[in-house]
Amino acid sequence: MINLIKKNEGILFLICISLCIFLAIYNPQFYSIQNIHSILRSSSTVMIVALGMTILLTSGEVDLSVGALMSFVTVIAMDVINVTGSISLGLIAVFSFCFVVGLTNGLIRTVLSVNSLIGTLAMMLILQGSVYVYSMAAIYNTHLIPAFSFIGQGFFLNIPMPVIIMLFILPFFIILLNYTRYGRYFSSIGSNPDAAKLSGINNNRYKVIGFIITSLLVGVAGIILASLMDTGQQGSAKGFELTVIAAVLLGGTSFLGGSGTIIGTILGILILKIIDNGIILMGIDQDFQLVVPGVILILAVYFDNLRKKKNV
Amino acid sequence: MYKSKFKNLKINSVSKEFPGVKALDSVSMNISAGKVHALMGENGAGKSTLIKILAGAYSKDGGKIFFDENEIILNSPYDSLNLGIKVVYQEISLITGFTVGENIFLENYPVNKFGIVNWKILYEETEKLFSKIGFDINPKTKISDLSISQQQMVEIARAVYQNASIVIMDEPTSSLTPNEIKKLFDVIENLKNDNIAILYVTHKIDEIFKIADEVTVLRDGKHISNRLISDTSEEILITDMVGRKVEAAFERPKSIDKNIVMRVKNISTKNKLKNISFDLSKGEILGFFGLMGAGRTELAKAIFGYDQISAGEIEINKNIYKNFNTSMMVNSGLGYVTEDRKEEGIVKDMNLRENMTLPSLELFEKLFFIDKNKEQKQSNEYIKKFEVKTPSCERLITLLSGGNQQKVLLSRWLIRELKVIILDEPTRGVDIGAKTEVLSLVNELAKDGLSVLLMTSEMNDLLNLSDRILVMANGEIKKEFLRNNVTQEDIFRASVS
Amino acid sequence: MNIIMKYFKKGEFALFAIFLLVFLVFSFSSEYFFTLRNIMNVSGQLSIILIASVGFAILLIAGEVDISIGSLLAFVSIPLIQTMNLTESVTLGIILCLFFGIIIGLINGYLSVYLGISSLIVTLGMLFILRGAVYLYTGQRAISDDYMSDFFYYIGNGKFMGTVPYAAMIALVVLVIFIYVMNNTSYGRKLYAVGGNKEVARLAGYNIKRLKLSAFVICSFLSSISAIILCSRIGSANHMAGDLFEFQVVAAVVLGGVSLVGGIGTLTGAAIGVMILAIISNGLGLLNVDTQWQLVVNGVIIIIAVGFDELKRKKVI
Repeated sequence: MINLIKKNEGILFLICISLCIFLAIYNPQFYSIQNIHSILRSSSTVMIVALGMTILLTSGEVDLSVGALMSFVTVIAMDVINVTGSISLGLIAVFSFCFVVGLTNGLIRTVLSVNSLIGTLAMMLILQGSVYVYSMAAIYNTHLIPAFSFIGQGFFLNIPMPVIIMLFILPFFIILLNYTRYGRYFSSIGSNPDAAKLSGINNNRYKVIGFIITSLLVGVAGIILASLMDTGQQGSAKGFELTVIAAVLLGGTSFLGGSGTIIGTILGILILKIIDNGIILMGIDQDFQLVVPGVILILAVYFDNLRKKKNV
Repeated sequence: MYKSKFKNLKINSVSKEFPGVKALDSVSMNISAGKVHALMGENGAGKSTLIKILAGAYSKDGGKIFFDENEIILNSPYDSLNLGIKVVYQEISLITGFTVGENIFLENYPVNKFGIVNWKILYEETEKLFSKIGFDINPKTKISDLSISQQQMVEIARAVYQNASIVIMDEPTSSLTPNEIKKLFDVIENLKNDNIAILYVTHKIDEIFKIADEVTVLRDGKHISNRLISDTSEEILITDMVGRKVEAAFERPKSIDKNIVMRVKNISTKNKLKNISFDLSKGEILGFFGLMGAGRTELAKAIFGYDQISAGEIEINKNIYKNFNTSMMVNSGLGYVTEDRKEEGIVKDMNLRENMTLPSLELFEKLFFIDKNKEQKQSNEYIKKFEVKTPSCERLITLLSGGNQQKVLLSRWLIRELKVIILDEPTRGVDIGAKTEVLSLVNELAKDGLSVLLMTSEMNDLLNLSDRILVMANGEIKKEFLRNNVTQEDIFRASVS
Repeated sequence: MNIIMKYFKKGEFALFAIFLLVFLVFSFSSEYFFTLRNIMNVSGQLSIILIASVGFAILLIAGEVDISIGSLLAFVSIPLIQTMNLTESVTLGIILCLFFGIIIGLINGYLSVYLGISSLIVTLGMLFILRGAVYLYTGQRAISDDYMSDFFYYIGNGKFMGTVPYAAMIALVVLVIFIYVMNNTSYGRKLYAVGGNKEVARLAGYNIKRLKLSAFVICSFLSSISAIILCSRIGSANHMAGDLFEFQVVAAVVLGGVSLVGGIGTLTGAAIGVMILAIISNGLGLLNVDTQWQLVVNGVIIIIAVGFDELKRKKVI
């Protein structure tokens, strides 16, 4: 039992439970069905992207453009479906766009040798700017296709659809990272790129794949978001990347190599989202929601550094 | 710059141990002011360790050091610097964006009370310093615009500008042209006149006879001799450096099948290698000897696809490779045990099993999933075979000793069906017993048809195992020897020519 | 010609040439570009970016980064405006504004240098923390300057002799002072050394932590000066001020040749980079191109400039 507590996931679990108990006492609305569903929905989109971000961080890269891309995706999705009346075409448009963005991020890193922090930061700017070039105004849902709304707002067996979608994707990544050789490849590339290369691994190829996977996952999350908002909104996912990165780092994955666990990441996301939710329920000014991930990010990296130093 | 008041440095029975290897074993020597004292030895003899101890970077485990008859403890680089012990390494440690003059004055800019730098004084003093040393470079030149030899000169000037008592030069001429070497020697003469002692660390015998007054030879961590140059000869020094009993040789086939497995044709790299060519037959063990900077590791990395070649090609079993990466080479049956196991070998966050199977994961796959049981079985086989000291194959690789890590890295490649394996210092940090096991395994595999590129500084291993020996220096192959027909002295001499 | 060559070392000369080129292109493309009014207008906005860029460049040269300066801009505007409104003292307002700037610089520096958290992470977090704090305090509304002192107005909008904006003069003075400091004082040279080769600097006995900390403080301090000018021009402490500002600064500074790895680049180059970007965005605006394109342009410039820098370092180019 002590061992469990000492481990990262143990601590996160305790924090999570404590938060839940505290909020439940403070405001019974916390454990109302609608509230729980809301937390689960917003956690799902973060989790979906966090899966890709985990791959990237494990292999020593990062993608700061996910927020801007997600906003862009909501706009594209809504626009294309409005115009064509076809969800399939919307999906194709979104995923093609995401593929190109991911590929570009990857090539900037591998061909131009621009480090991914800067490169994806620059991509973030480009996407933030170009989304307005695509459309100055927000795009409202004029197609009113029920299947589309179902993606974000629907339920399956009383569980919100975003959670179902996330649960559908999750096992694939768990298997990928823990049971296939690709997981080993990503880990070794992040932990010791030279040793990986000298073992015959093509580092650049896998980095690019990591970026593409992440961007495609952002596509999924963006479509869910568009469905939830019933709008394509530029700037709707601002700050999203911070939450994703903070969650993945909380979950134990480190910039310096070594991957955390999926459970850790899930708990990290829940903690962040419950805090967000608590801020609203406790009537605290919503703008605190910007402050919290920032503080947590710094703390998470600080403790991660301490942990690494102790192990070395 | 003032005349140094230093008289001598006595090193008494200094020892230093690392896990698994005694780097220095009761080494003693005296360094006198105003003299050039050469330090010689093969790779791994202990030269770097001694330098690092004198520089305050390592602490000694035994023995005493006396500076002008006072015992000193060197706990940090500052201790050494304060005494005037300066080291000029092979890697340049200057601020490349600054000018020459600025680098000289890094520790103390000539400033007025507001902190404003007096550039006029700075450059004038630098000029004075240079003319004293005998070095002519415009002090306003940026470091990045200088050649390696000029940068080295700046380093030396920087070292002697303030209270220098001993200047340790580590392989100073490895990248210099004969002209530049002559300039360096002129500078060294000037330093001697200022009573500064020079510890000149090198393997180049002819230089020692040109510039040194005394020479100490290290071998396997022990000091073999301390001689005056005037009292000795090249032959004696070579014997000092190399002479040891040759152990029983491994049995090698009388002649090697002329079945060519790999042809290296005229490969060069941007920085080091020049026009290297050789053939490798099936089952042949081709030894490579060369001192530091000769280019063996560069050759290994180039052949393996880690570094790009700028010219030439490699032919493996009728396939020609001009532009290739490590993936391609691994797929065509090559393996490579690197020299630097910490930075290029082990993946520190993985355990023993994962490290061992890393290049071969497709062998352990069953329908996209990795078969962990199969991995464990294989790992345990090799743990037993090499007697790797570990409780299990799940142990974190960083918790293993260096020697055991090396065994794991070797197993990593031997698990595969290889055509060619490149071994770069494969027995470094491995104890004697394991060494023999590893080498005899290599011998057996060669008999079964594995071709081996054996790069090692262990003369014994080279002579015992290799069918042919190629000696490298300065990025080129200098000489080829056949087994049975060569002595250690021959090889060594070829590597310093 | 020789004098020009002496002052503009290789890289900066190329930059200046680019600047002239862009200037000429826009002069011919738009009739409004090369007018006194426009130039004076540009120099007003330019001063804000320039002053902050000087601070940013200095920190970059020292080997660290601060991407929270945009949020800082908004954050320190609050004590500035509030103090003026409450105490009717411009001086007090300015002092408090700069004070808060220094404090944030100290915090950023302490977390990065003394606690060892990557400065990118620290200031990324700060970016959101400060912005959030601004939103919290202002309730997402601007705080208007009710005091409306003439003196304060002139800082950002006044012109010396009716032509040269005070803001531009402040920027120029800041630029000249810090160019001198970076090139001619031991302090400035030590910053270069620390960013250029930490080990050599350490062995030379430099107090690396203190030097880097001071660079963080300079960066925030200068960004606070930019904030003062900005508030003067818009007449309020705007909660959205400085949004994405840090990225414009990064693009300008990186374009100007200051390297992200530290120890390389000059303030002169950074200044030219700022000027180039400023006239590009001004020119595009006059040609009625969407302002959103500027973000895109910034992003592309960052990628190209950094990519070029990296490839040059790896000697591919």
